[in-house]
Amino acid sequence: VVNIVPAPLGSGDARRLGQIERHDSLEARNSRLAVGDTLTVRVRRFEREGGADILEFRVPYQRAMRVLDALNWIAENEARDLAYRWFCGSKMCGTCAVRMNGREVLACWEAVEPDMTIEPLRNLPVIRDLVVDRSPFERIVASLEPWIERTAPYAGFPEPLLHKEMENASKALDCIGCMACYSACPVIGLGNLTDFAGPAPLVQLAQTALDPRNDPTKVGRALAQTGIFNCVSCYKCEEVCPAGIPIVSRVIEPLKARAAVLVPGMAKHPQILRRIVAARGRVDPGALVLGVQGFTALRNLPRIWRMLVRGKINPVRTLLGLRTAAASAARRLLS
Amino acid sequence: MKFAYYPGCSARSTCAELNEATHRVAEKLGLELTQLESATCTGARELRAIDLIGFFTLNLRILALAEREG
Repeated sequence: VVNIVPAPLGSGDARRLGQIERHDSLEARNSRLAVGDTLTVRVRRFEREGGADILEFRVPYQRAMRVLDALNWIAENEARDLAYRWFCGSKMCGTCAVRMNGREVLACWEAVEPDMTIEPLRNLPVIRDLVVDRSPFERIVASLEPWIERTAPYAGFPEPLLHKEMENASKALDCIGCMACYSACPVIGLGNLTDFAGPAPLVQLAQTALDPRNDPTKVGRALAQTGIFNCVSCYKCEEVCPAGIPIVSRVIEPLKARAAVLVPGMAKHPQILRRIVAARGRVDPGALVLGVQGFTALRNLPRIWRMLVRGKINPVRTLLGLRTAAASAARRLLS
Repeated sequence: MKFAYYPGCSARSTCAELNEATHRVAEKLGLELTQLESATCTGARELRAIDLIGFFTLNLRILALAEREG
């Protein structure tokens, strides 16, 4: 028997844990390159008429070089017609996000790597090369009425507003609108299969929807269009957010809680899961799907057959409502 | 070495292969798994969104069970 001592997991938010897993610390990066080295940079070029192509460039490394510096070098020396966006160069304007080696980064803030493939963001139409069309995001945000509307009179001046009440909204206000999270979101990647608004529009919505002064009717109306319960809480958005916003825990989950109160019909899946757990102790997948989709779930016979053969569902257990050994504890705790 | 083992809801149903694999790997490594039979569902993200207190109580109980068995 070999004794296995697991490596310390580290602590911190999803972004920090992701960096540890990728050996992406500042020390590790600085030791990778020295002045005089040559970088291999592949850039995905795209022309609406001409199709997509990946071009490879050799770029001389300069001290403290960022992805943006490498793109600037290529545009000045090799490909003068390379299309990419940037404005402030200091992590404020949110226009320069690209995918570098498969992850979303701000070109102005990310250190270069010896071997880089730079691509445009996913989930948005590409206009040219690394420039994406942000209008789908802007249309969603505009439809969510992201402003504060008050129906009640002012409580007096200065208005009593607790720091605690603004905790989540103030995190959302750090958003620079770079679309890194929108590109990383796997649910958005499913396209029209869901009506999920996506992490970036939800962060914009949270700035006002989680403000206690806002009109609950208007917030409910906005939340009803977000398909927010399609979020699977995978934390990819949190991992890539350059502004370090805890998108799942401080934006999406508080919004889900608001939606469950203001638009109860939206929270069907969680409500049914809760009912099943309270009755049986654990989730029965058959009962959950039947509860959410009703008998339309039975239309997909080939899938039901496959799941039956592989022992993944147990219709007897589902239909008889059999309880597990955990049922009495769950009932006690959830009642 | 004895370990408290908590297979989630999916490991007991839709992802039963994960449960099977865990048992086989544990056997190879010489780990003895004590399954937490009366452990409830964790509630996952679904319960966390709509019933935070229920979510915490379920999970605190699971951790307490593991501490007792582990």
